Amino acid sequence: MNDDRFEVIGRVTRRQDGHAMVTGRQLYSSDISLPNMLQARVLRSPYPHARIAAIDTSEAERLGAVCITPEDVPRVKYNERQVSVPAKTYRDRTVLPDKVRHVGQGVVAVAARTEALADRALDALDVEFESLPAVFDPHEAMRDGAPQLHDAVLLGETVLPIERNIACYREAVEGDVARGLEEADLVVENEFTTGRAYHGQLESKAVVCRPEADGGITVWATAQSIHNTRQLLGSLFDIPLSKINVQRVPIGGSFGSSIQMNSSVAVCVALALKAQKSVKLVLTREEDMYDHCKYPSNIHLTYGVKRDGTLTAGYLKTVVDIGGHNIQAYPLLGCMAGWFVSLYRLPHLKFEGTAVYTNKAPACAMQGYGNPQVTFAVESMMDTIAEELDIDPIDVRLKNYVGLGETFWGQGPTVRSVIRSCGVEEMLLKGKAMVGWEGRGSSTSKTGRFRRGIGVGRGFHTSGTGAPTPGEVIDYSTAMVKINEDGSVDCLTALMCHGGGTLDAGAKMVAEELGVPLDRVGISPSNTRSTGYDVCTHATRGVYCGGASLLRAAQDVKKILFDFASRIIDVNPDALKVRPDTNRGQGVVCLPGAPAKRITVAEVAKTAQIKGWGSIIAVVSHRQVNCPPCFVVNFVEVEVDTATGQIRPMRAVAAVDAGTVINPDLAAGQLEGGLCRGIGLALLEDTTYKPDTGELTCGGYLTDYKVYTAQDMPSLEDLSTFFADTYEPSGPFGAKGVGEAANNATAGAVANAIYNAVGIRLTEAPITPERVLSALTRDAEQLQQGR
Amino acid sequence: MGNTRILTREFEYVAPETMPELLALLDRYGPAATIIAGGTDVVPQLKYEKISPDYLIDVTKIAELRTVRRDGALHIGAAVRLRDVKAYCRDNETYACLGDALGSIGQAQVVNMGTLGGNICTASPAADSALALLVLEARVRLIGSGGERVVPLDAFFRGPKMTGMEPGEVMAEIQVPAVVDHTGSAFRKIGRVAGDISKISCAVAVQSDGERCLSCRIGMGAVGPTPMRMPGVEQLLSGRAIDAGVMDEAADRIAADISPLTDVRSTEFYRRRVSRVLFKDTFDQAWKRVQR
Repeated sequence: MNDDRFEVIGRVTRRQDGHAMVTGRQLYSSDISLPNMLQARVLRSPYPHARIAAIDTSEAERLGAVCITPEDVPRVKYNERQVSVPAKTYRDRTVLPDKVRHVGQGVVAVAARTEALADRALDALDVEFESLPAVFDPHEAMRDGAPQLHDAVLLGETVLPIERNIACYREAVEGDVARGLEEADLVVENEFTTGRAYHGQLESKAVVCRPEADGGITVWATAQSIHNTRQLLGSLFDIPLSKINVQRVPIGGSFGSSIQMNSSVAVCVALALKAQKSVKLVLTREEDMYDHCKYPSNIHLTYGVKRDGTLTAGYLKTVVDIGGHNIQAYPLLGCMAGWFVSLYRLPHLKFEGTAVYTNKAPACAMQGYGNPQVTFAVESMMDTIAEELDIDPIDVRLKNYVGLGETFWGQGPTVRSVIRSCGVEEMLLKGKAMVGWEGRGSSTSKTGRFRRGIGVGRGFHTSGTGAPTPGEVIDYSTAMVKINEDGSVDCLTALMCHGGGTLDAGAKMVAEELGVPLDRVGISPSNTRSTGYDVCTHATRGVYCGGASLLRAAQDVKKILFDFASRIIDVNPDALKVRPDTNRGQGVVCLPGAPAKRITVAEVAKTAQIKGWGSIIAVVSHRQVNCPPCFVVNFVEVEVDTATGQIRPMRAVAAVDAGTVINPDLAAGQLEGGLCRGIGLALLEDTTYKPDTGELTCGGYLTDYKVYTAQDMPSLEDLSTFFADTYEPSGPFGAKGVGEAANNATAGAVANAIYNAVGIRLTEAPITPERVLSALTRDAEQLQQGR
Repeated sequence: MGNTRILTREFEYVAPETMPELLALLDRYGPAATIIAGGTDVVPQLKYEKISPDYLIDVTKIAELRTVRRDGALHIGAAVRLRDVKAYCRDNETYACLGDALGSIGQAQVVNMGTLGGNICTASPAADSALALLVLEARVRLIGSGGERVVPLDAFFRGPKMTGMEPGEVMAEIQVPAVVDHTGSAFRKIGRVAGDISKISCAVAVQSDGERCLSCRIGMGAVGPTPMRMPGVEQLLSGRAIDAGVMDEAADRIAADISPLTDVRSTEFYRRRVSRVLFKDTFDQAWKRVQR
């Protein structure tokens, strides 16, 4: 798919960091090694809920370890995620706690010359826990007399008492739901759940901290936002930001798990400051699995609908089990409301969300941020409505979806904008033809042990969190672009790449704008001291927001370039163009139609240097005033083995409306990856707990936390991807996001495919073979009783 | 919480090159030593700190343990890699169920590193190759400084992670008897994902004259303390003409005779329910292989 409008945008190009990644030369946080560096380990609570009565570190110190206890760290209550405005930030944790709220929570940290010695020091620690009753179910946690995890937290600077373990509550109402339901010819309702999936990013969290001679620190950390990490460390340890340098380090996958500053970062810094030596702390896989997971959902959903399929009202009520700490439950609930109301037009709507503390690992954002959970429920319901009204499921969607020209508030009630590009219809109709929708038959027509079914799911994600007005969420990016004296280009930004090629996309935009060959546009290493603020690479904002800031900087640089060029070749700058000259490996500034009026970008830059005109450089801070929806459509075909309950995904069509696609192969890769994880959410992934001990059933080990691999997915011939033909007017070169959207529609499509195969609506994800078999058994018994 | 990134405890690693050296080391170190072959089970055990040996004795450098030879029976050295056994089975359809079992291991690393002897000595109730070897009536040759003995595999397994191996003994080889004519075999399992040990597994070797089951051996995995033979069902089927009614009867007996538990991988209910169909599928496949 080559787009004639562009030189490099829309073309498959090789990633700049690809070679280093596949040859093992890319350095991640855990690869950082400094002279005289100590290795840290953390003693973690074996109890789900306990007061720490006494700590004795003397034996560990005798072994030569440096130890920190809750006494040695700042007592400041903080929230590790700094994306919301301070007034909407819930703060309930300290660097080390005096009370543990889940198994695996860090209590004491040690640093020693080697990791093995640090481990021995851990064994030598003597910590006395006073075990408290624990609660693992959010509904039980809300009952009177349930164990109370937090007495009070801070909301901004205000003390907020916590009652019945409710971390926060959020409501959104438009119109009158009761009236809307009365106006309906059909009311459908059901309850849906999704699991606490583990992010399963390849790289477990790692951090290295070096204390500097001037009292400052340098930090290499697994992080999606180096600036938020720096600011938080500055306020926790009372160090001026000018003395804190957080380096951007390539990240080995994230799926949202490092939006917040990882809990180990502050621990490592505290150790390094105490030891006055560099300290490295790398989580083991089991520590990582006790550190974070996806927000699970428990959703009660009601829709009112007219006989012709028009929705009259929608009411979604959700309880979210957030675990021991509140990382970002308040904005999550806002977004869940946003995902709900922005999927389908609802004249009357209501959303109620309650986030509840339990003694489990704290949940945080994971690919979709509440969106796959809500969309699983909504898309399942769209098929229920279609079935009840005997309308094609695709037609129900086409009739009700929120599209072009309509207002949407995907990122929550305070982030509203108008949709200016939309490929929903195109994707539904094209996908329908590709997958052979008309031939899928109804579940009642299917017999035999192995039954196939095709399901559809659609959804969207926002591209960032930008809005015309400042809201509850901070969203802007800063970029610097400069043309070097040989005509090559440096791009400097605090933007992050999680593996999807975000920075590479930024480089392509700069190359496109400046007419410089792509291999001459470099992404500079960056850190907090050399870059302007970038909120965080999250919310599918990398290309749309971060890319836009690079493009704006490139546009400013281009003005300077043309100004300088016009002085040399004597052409009005407004008449100039710049194009890549592949023979020369250079960008060439030219006056179209005038062969004599040409000069390479290198000549302009070198001349500017020699003549002392200055560097061709620009810095831009840019906020997008929209967060347009990147729509997605999935068709999935499954085969259900009715004898074993096993479900195999056989075939899939995944499509995204990402506006202009920057790199088709990488975007397709996002679609495939999102589909794979979406199937995992539907069928496989959950972190369950042992009710007696509060430990993870899988122990934190990947041997018993399974994720799908290529072996479990449809073969490449059976997996098709395509892109809607759209152009987003507010996006850089017409681009929107992809990342999270890729994951959002899948679980619903899978559940609908299962229904189409066996005629049973399964609402409890993961839909394991055990659950399928139980449901099939119940269904058969009911059929028998009916006869 | 342990530390699965590194092996936190010091141990001495020794790699003898001959059997006498190995036996001498076993005698010298006694229970302080653990034998390691492919390491696909021992290394996780070390990381989980379930074992903490002072000596780790690597047996993969001993040529005798790495050879495969055939003299009627098939003799597979205990330290032969699963990958090599798998390749052998691909070329020799006689041992179809063993080929199925090794082919069912989704993790390439396990197949490349793991050894057949290791898979057996681990004595996991869910071990794939062990179940296949069980229905092939394999025997294991054990050597100690006091001599050697040959033990039928079904007498070798004593419980989860427990075998009939005496201190100072080492497994030298696995002997798979020649398969009698008109026999077909198959292995099937159900896992959570492709790269997984089984929730439940089944192996069948059946000899038939086209209509009747002349004799058969049936094994079920992950439904009891060891990989289990199913003598009740074997008797029930022997000499019977195979039809749907007989298969239902046998499947009911399978479900009744196994003793599954609920654990991290599945539930008792599920295992018992699917044991019937898994057995039927496996038997069916083994049966088809006879006809060819």
